[in-house]
Amino acid sequence: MRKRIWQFLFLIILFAGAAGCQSGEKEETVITIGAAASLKSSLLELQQQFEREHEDVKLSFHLGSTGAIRKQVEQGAPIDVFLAASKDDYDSLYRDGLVEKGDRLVGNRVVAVTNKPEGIQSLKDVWKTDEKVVIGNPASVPVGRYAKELLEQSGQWEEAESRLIYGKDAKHVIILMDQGAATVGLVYNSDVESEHNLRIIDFFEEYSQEDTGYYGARVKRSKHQKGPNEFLDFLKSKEAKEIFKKEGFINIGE
Amino acid sequence: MNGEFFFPIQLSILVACMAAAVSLILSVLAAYRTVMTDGRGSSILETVYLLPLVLPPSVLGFLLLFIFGMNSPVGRTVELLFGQTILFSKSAAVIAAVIVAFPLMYQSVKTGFAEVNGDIVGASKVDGASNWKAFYHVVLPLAKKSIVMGVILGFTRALGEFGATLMFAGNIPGKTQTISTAIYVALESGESHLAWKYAGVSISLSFLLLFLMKGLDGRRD
Repeated sequence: MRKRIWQFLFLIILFAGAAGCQSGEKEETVITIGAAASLKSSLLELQQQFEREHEDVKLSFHLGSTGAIRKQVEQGAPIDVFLAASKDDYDSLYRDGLVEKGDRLVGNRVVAVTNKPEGIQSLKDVWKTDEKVVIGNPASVPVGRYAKELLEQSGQWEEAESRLIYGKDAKHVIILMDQGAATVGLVYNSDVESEHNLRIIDFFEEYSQEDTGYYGARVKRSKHQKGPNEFLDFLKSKEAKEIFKKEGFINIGE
Repeated sequence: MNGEFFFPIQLSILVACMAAAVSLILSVLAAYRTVMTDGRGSSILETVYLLPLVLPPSVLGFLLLFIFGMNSPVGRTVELLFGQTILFSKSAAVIAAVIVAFPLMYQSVKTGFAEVNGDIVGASKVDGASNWKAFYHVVLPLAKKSIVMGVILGFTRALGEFGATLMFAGNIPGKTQTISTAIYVALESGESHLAWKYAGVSISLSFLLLFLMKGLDGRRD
């Protein structure tokens, strides 16, 4: 009986080994990109272009909130490339030595929008009314943190604070406006692109917004070197920039 | 496109089936133990069994991520044994689903066991049945209805699991993306028509199962 068990175990190991070899022979490497969910539509376009140019690398995406993906990278989840929607999350992983040195790949702007057809022409007008203003929760959402900073820098935080509603992420801010919970919101320029009923009332032009945007870096624990680096290089290419621009992002240096 | 659309549905059903099977074994064992010991000394254990029912799934996901992560001995042992981490795998999705399905199944199975008339079990033992035989041939068949209801309830809960799955099993299309995580991404990226389709599938499946359970409940045997 005992002998049987050993034979059985041996066979299993043999099969597992054979299966391992087979997958090793495949020339295609699959790399997993852990990315902020708001990047989805850009990423699908980028994937088509990238895979056409790099036949030996296949991309698979794990989409979630930047904070959650950061936690997953910290715990060693099999992610090869981290695409973060906030500088803080990237910085923290870089400081802990979990990702390699990365770049700010593409910029974004926080803008103030309204879905009211008339009456409100700028943020200043909002403070004269009793309209509610929705921003992402500054404690957990990058776009909310940036929005708070902008309101503080422009000296409008005091007036804004009493009428603020917090959304759980960038999309939720827009959903709250659609549902009529607020008529003014602070969101990314790239989120406004697909929302035709929203009108931008403030670009915060006088503030450079140097941190907003997406940061990309290779995860150190990744078993792949070439694929992740090729993909990160691709994100800085001219073709990628065009795709980003189409989606309402702002290219660095423009 | 069609394969892509159906993958999360197939995976959700597969994961829920496996989770239901594993939870069934665990909950029968746990409920048997609770009933056998008359609840003595098991109140702490029972509380632990029921905890996943009330904890936010994101907390469960975070705990699982921590336990099976690379910074924990458990996570490292798993990687040593299998050559890869369990994070972001189908097994991770099953584990997350088992944890949320278990409390519901346990409750139902326990109720079933407790309702079995002790005299009948006693009589079978007088006739010479061992503990195991009495359990297998008397208690199990008599508690069948509760067990089946527990399985359906657990399966339905596993089917809808989101928070822990997203954290622990990830959200990779074609690999670990389930109906719930597909809905999340569709909503996040503004594809509400796709979200509605998945929501429709999810609601119909759950409705069907709960309806089945209601029918079972109403049946007198």
